[in-house]
Formats: sequence, C-alpha cells, structure tokens
Amino acid sequence: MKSNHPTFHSSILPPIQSSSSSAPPLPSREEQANREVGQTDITRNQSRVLVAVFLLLIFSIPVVQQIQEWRAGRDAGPGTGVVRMARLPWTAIRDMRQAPGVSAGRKLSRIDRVFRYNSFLLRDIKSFEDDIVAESFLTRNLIPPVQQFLTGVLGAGNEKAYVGRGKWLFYRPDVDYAIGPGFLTDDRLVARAKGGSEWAAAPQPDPLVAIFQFRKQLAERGIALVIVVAPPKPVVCPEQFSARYDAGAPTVHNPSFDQFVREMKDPNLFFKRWEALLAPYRKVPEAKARRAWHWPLTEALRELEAAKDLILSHPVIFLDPAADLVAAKRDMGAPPYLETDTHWSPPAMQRVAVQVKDLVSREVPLPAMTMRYRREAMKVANLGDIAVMIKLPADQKLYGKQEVTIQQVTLGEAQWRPDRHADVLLLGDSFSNIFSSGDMGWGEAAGFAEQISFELGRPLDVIVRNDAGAHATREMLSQELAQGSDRLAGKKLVIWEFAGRELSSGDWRVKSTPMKPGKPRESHFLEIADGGERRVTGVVREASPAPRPGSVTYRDHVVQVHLTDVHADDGQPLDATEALVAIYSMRNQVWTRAARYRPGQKLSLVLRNYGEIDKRQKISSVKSSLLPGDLELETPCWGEELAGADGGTAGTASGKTSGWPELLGVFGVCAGVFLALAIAERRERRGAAKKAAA
Amino acid sequence: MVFSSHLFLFLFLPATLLLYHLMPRRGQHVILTLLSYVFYGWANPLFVVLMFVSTLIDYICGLFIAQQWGQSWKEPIPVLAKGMDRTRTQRTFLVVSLCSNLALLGFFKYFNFATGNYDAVMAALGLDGLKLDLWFRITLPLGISFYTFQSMSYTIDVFRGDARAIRNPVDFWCYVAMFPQLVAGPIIRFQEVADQLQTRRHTLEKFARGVAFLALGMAKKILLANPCGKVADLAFDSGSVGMLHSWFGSVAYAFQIYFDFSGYSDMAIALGLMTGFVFAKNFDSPYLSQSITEFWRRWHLSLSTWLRDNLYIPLGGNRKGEARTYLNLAATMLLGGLWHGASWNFVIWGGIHGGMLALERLQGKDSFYRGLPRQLKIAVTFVILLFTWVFFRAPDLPAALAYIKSMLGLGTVQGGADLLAGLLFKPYYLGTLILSCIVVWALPQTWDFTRRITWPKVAVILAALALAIVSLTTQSFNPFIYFIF
Repeated sequence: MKSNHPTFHSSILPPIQSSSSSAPPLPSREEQANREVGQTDITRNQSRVLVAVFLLLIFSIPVVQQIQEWRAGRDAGPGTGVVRMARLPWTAIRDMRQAPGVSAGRKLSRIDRVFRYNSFLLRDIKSFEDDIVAESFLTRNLIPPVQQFLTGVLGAGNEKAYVGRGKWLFYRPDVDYAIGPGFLTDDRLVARAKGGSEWAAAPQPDPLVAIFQFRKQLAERGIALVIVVAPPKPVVCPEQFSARYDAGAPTVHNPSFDQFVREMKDPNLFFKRWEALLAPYRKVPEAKARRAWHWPLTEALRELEAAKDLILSHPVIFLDPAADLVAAKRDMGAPPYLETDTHWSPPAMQRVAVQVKDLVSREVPLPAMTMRYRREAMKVANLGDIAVMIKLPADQKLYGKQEVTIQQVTLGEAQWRPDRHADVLLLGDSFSNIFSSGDMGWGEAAGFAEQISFELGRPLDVIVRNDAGAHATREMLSQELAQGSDRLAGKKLVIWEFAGRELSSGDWRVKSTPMKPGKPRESHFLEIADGGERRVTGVVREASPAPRPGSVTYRDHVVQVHLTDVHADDGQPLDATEALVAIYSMRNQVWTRAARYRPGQKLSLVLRNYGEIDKRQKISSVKSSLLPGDLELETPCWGEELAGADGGTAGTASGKTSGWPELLGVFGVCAGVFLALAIAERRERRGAAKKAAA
Repeated sequence: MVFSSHLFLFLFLPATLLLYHLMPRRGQHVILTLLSYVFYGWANPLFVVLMFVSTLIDYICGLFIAQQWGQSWKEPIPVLAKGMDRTRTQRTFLVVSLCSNLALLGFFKYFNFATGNYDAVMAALGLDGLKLDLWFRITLPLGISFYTFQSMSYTIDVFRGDARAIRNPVDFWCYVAMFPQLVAGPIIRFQEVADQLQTRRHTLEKFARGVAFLALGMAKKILLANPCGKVADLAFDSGSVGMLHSWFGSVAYAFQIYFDFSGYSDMAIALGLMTGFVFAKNFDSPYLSQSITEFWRRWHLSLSTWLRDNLYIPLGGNRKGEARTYLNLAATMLLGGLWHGASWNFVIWGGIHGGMLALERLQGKDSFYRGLPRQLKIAVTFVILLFTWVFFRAPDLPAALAYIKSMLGLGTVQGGADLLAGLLFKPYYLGTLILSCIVVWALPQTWDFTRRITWPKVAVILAALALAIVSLTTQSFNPFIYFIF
C-alpha cells in the first residue's frame, strides 16, 4: 500500500522518526549521542586514570623535548617547539626576501607575491613538521627497537626497505620497478610528466628521450655510446624475495623493459609512439602549449626529429646483463648481489665488465693499447646500505656484515686512478662507485671502472655520482663543458651506466644537459688556489637541500652553500665577497651541522680548493645537491667547519641525550601533583561527609 | 594537519587543550576558532581565505533568512515557524547561500573533471579546435566537501525553521571551522549543535570517554588502516596482479577505508568530547550489514542523513510514486558518489549502490540473497562491497576494470606479479588482516565498547594508545583517505 506521507524505512537512509501519531518519536542521532555520553558507565577513579595518563603523555613529551633542545643549545638546530611554529609566518617572509629573484630586484605583482609567500610558508611548514619527527627524542629512542621487532619478527621492513627471504633485504624502488606498471605506458608517462610540486619540477619520464639526445650529442662529435643498465636486485634474484621463484627463474623486468629495448634498437618505433601520444596536442597554439605538461617533451622531440637521420645511423650499443647474471648464479656459486645491499657482488660486477669488453671489442673500433694492470684480491666486510636504512639498533644481530673478495686494480705499485685524457669515459652511479670509493664501505680501487679498465687494458676517464643516474652524470659533464673545460675532447667512447630502477622512477632531464663547450667564465666568487687554505666568515644566503638520514641509500651527502659578506678571519684580504661552498651535510648516515644551514645564518669555515680535495677524497662521486641557476656553473670551494673536519655531526654531538631521564622526571613531578590533588580531594570529601553526618 | 602525527599529538593538541580550558567561557569559541584556522591553514594557508569567505556568506545569509539583519543584538532570535511561506528576500538569500556554496564546491572540485570531459568529447567529435586544453589545474582545497555541506546546512536549517539563526559571528565561525571534524567529517548539521554552541557541559567523565575514543580511533588508524593501506597500495599499484593477490588487496582496502574513516570519526568525536561537544555516531559496524540497504544505515551516517534531508526528501522521496522513488534513489546515490570525488569511478560507485538499493527495494526492502543464513548474507554483502570499493580505490576506470578482471581470474599476469607474494604474505600484513577481521566481525564498535568502561577496558584503552604512539614513530606520513574529498 502506498503511503501519502514520508516514511523512509525503505530509503537509503537510517530509520528516523515515524510520522505515525501512535508510534513513539525516535530520538535524533544527536539526542542518542547525548544520551549515550551522559550514560557512560565509568567510575571517577577510572576517569581520573584515563585522563591523567593521557594528559601526562601529551604534555610530558613536548616538555622533555623542549628541555633537551634548550640543553643542546642553538647548534642543535632551529628547534621544534611552539615558538618556532609561531614564527613560521615571519621566517617565510625572510626567506622570500632573501631568495634569488625577489632580492635581485624583480618586480612581482601583488597576487604573485601572495602565491610566492604562500609557497615559502608551505615549504617552511613542511620543513618544521619533518624536523618535529626527525628530532623527536621519542622517534630517536623508539625506532631502533620497534624496527627490530617489526623486521625480525613480523618481516615488515620500513618505507625504504623490504625484507626478503633469509637474511636478504631489498630496496623498495627496486621492487617497485619490477612489480610496478610499465614505465613506457601512455598513462604512466603522462602522469609522471604532469607530476611535480610547488618546489620541484615534474620529471622528464621517458628514458629514451634522454638516451637519444645523448646519442645525438655524442654522434655529432664522433663518439660512440654504450649503455649499461645495472639490473635491480629483484630482477636477477627474485627467489630471494618470494618463494614462488626458484634460482633458475628468468629475469623479472618491468613490463615495459622489452619495449624499451625494442625502441632503442629501432628509434622509428620511438618516434611513432610519441607522434601518436602528442597528436591530440598538435593543433594547440604554441603560446598556450608552452605552459602545458607536454611542452618540454614536444621541444625535446622536435630536436630529436631534426636529427633523426643521425640517430638512425648511429645506433645505441646496449647491454642488459640481467640474463647473464641469472645464468651466472650457477657458475659463480654465490648470488650475484650483496645480501643486505642494493648493489651487485664483486664477481658479478667483474662478469659485467667482461661483457662490456666483449661488446666494445665487437662494436667500437678503438686504437690498440695494452696497459699492464694487475689485480689483487682483498677481503672486505660491511653491512649493506639497505640494512642501514632500516634503522636497527647499533648492536643488532639480525643482519651481520657480509664478507666479499674484491679485486683491486693496480698499475705498478699505485692503485688504479682515472685518467682525464683517456679516450673512454665512464658515466656511472653507485653501481660504479661501490668497491671503488672507500666512503661506501666496501673497499676501494676495485669498482666497475677499474674492472672495465683492466679488461680493456686501457685507462678510463670517470664521472661518477651516487644516485640519480638518469641525469646526474650527464649534468656534471654538461656543466664542465659549459665552464669551458672540454671533457669530451679526444674521447672515442662513452659508457653510460645507470641503475635499472631509474627507468621507471628517474628524471631523464634533457633541458639541463646540453653538451656545448663554453668559454671559461669570469667569476666574482672566491677562489682558493691549489694547496691553499683560508679561514673565512660569511652569511648564508641559500643552501641546497640535504636528504634525511635513513631516507636514501648513500651514506654521505654534500650540500652547496652560497655565502655572502665573506671576509677573512686570518687578516689577509680576500678578492671576493661571495663564495660558493661545498660541504658535507651527511656522513655515514648522520647529519652534520651543514644540513641545517638556514638563510641569514653566520658561519665560520675553513675553505680549500675543491679540485685538490676531490683528487684525494673523490668528493665529486658523493651524492650532492646543487643550487639552481647560474650558480651551477661556478666552481665551489671545499668547506669545513672550524669545529671539526666533518662539520660536526648534528644531534648526537650537540648534547642531546636519550630523553628518558627527563621524561621520568616530568612524569614523577606530574604524578606527585596528581597524588597531592587526589589526597586533598579525599580529605575534603571526608570532611564534607563528617559535616553531613554531624 | 593530521590527527595521527607528532605535530598534532605533541604540540597542537596540548596547546589547544591548555588554551581552551584556561580560557573563560566567552573566549573559548574565539580560541577554538583561531586554532581551527591554524589547523586548516596548515595544509595550505591560502585555503583559509576560501573557508572564511564561504562562512561569511552563510553568516550574512542566515541573518537575512531569519530577518535579523540590522536588528538589535540584545533581542533573542526566534526560530522561524515551520511550514510557513517565506518572503522573497528569505528565499533569495537561501538561494544565494546554496548557489555560492555549490559554486565554490563545483568550481574547486569539478572544474578539472568538467574541462577534461569536455575536451575528451570535443576530441571524439573531431572538433579539436574547440578544446580548452587548459595548462593549469585547480587545486582541491582540503575538506571543501565537508565544510560547504556543513555551512549550507545552517542556512537550510534556519530557513526550514529547524534551528535558530546565530547572531554572534564567533559562534558561527566556530561551528563551521571546528577542527575536530573540519576536514573529514562527520558532517555536523547545524541543528545538531546549535544548542551546544550556547551551553555545554565539561565533565571528567566526558573527557575520559573522549580519551577512550581517541585511543581507539588512533589504534584503528595507525595499527590497522595504515598496514592494510600498504597492502592495498601494493596490489592496486602493481603492473599486474594475480587473482588471489587482487582479492587480498581489495579486502585490505575495504578494511583500510573503514578503519581510516571510522578511526578519524572516533578521533573527531573524542576531540569534540574534550572540548565539551557531543557529535553523533558516524559508523555502526557497517560490515555486519546483511544488505546494501542496511549498509547505508551503518556507513557514514552523517552523509547519508544529510543527503536524505537535503536531497532525497526535497526531490520527493518516496511520496511521488514508484518510478519517481527509484529515480530519486538513483539520483541521490549518483550525486552521493560524485560528492566523494570528481571522477567517473565515483559516479559508477554511486550508481552501483543506487542500483543495489533499487533492486533491494524491489525485493521488499531486502537483499536478493535474503534466503541465506545470516553469516552468508553478511559475507555476500561484503563481497558486493569489495567490488564497489575497487572503483573507489582505482585511479581511473580502465584500472578499475582491469583490477576486477584480475579478481575474476581474467587478467593477464606478468613476470613480476609473483614478487607481490613475497610482500603480501609477511606475518605483519597477514596478522594485521586477521586482526582486522576480528575487530570488524567479532568486536563491538567504539560507542558500544566505551559505553561501560571497566578497569580491564582502561588497560586496553591505554595499551591501544601506547601501541599506536609507538607505531606512529616508525610510520611515514599517512594522511586520511577522506582528506581528499
């Protein structure tokens, strides 16, 4: 029977008050809630305990944190308390005024100023929130034991590391590469090209665009290009990650990898794909298109289209050693990757070096040369970078050091050294740096460059930088050329090695990598002569960002700092008032004070010649962040804080303790006050009861 | 700002409680409003301007509707008589309020969606010259769907005579901006809190129950929703996924969205209780539902109530014949789906729910599997929900359809798919899913659990709080799912 009045029992919604006059009215949701709360069955003591413990917890932790920060002083950083929070709007104004662009006299409209200010404020808010977590004594003390439980008992890992089978660990981006969607699918490319944020430009997502650009640039100078993709660990060792694979399982590449190889071999396929993808945007007027997501790609592709014949006639020589490494598992009798590290094992790396030699011998005619390199076996032991990223306790027993035998390459009595004048140049990332740079903890002079050099019997020039193999080394090469130093002069072959995960997550920049030799620039920045040393004081104008320890695979990191108002502390006059300084921001996964440099901060530093330090310590191979703009073309000085050679580690060295004694102290005081109040209330009640009885 | 973060728990909340409770009664709403603006502006300071403007419009419209604009502040504002005709001015200002709110919501939430679809249609018709191809994208302000609905409910309630208009702007700003439920609900209708804005009690018992709600809400979010979310992310974001893994992923997502959203609602209720407000229940063990109709009586009650009162009933509800009832039902659910997000996936999600409700209505307000035993009915309802959640979670329609194909065993499995097994079946994730099943199907929901608090429950609540805080330290940033709606 149809009703003429609204009844909603059959509607999408919860039953409500019936309109029938005989039915008792149902209470509204709010009335029900009020009644519920009013009828909470809880004793006063239970209420007190719940409220007291809760308040103790939320008040004591920030109080202890503040005590710690006051005790540590200003050196420990800008603080994480309410005072810094309240000052954020003003620090954003200061940062905005000091940022390049505004201070350089560029006029901004009011609206632009508002948006710019908002973006600085957002950056400072984010930085403040990150600092709260990173600096919290709670985080510092709880992460290691909790992580040990999560990893050892529950197999959870963390946001950077996955726990494999047995004692194996995997780096998350490596696994994401293998299980993720195809990196060359239209959706993925478009989504990545549209990405980015207020502070970071969207990445250039297609590796082939960068590879063909580089191929073209080298072909114009008659240089051959060999590409070596260092396979991510799960691609070669899936059986160490999931029991569903056995040791003989084929490689587990990203779904787009085969297409990537096909298009690299036949660039026509690449051009066709992009033509189809960009076809809908062809008719968009250029003025409009310039601001669209596809414009950087359109521009890059135009450049490649113009050089299509050159690209087709100079194919990229490509090496994917994954299949051979799978086959090598049997021959080598040991897994080709390190158990708790992201990288390959020494024998696997040597095997790839042999493949490179075979490929080069077949494909690239190089003048004969036989250098008498020797190899010397040496045992090294280390804990892998992924194990460090899990942040386990220092005395953990879950993952031990792994011992491996490296093959150090020597020439005569000296360790192998790169040669800037060699006709072969290797561009590489941490897969090239491991076993070569002592900073990585796996020995030195036994890396990929050394093994290739040994196999080819010729010297090698090397540009290596940990991480960001998609663009870092090409940018370094490009900058050097722009500075007037022609690193490609006399080169016949460039070997470009990068980690396979870069294919799906790397930024394959093409705009920042022109390979045009420039003229030496006149610099108004401070320069330190070879062997020289100056003590200076200056004010930080800008500092490049430093990654948080534990969030990256590399142990060390270098930041660049732009100093102004520079003057000498040693009495001798300086020939410049500005300096670009490179300085360690992280050593062995611990921040130095340089990681916290802020605009306006006054610094006293010892400055040395960068090139000289680089020769000794291979600074250029350490992952670093650069300051944008023209500063990229300046040669920095190498900086060290007066306090110590490493710039002083932040946090632990600045007087911060575990925080537990302070927490207990605060708990004790609060418990005392609470007890006193409870006793007073009890007395009052007894008094009232006696009065009532009387 | 996220409730389950160091910043909120150990800085914002202590400061808020301290300032609020130290403040005399008159200043409490001022401090709550200011802190709520800080809370909201934390995500993006510019969003604050938008919320301020929206609030200002509704405040002025409310006074005009109540015919109090320019009247003496000393006179109490009467409630408008129900069912009486309204003047042209009153109707005009209601329309102004509705249009401004809907325009705000429409522009910020649906602009990108609308232009994208327009371009797609033009391209399909071969009219490339008419495409907009905009280079910019509109950023969705946090929680705009929640606070515009909430703000609108004020003028609607005043117009209908369900609530008294507010003269004190601080009280109104406080109602709209109140941080506990600002960005992800529950949607508090004005008539529900109008009295509380005038007078409310602060008691130790109320605060204690708030602590219990906060602890359990945090535990739901940090201990259950976040790990379940990790499993769901792995399954939904992988290039190809096997049948078993796809089911695993969709079950994990069903748990994630429930624990995430109900955990947030619990925390919102908790923070309300700590500041003297009582907010109504938003979830009532939804996965115990034996039909989709019942599900909507248990899931996101504040939204379904809002849609009922402000959309379904004004459209005619079930009073205008069978055909019209089905139409109203479908329209309400489709718009409900679209309210969640500007994407065809949400429209389909709403469409499936609307279709199921219509089907169940045809079956005499019961499910088509009504003959099954209770447990099986619950199971079948849950499976239907799993399929609908796929549309909710997948980034776009092709991805949703591909995932459903995987669930039906029709998907293509690639080499790397089995790597997922190495992750999904870790004790951590398996244990979390088993624990989630227990919490969902065997334990009482938060309101029932905290109705009677015994000493063992005190221990459980404090243990949940401690575990959640300990676990929080090891987790990276995990915003709530409903923040984006």
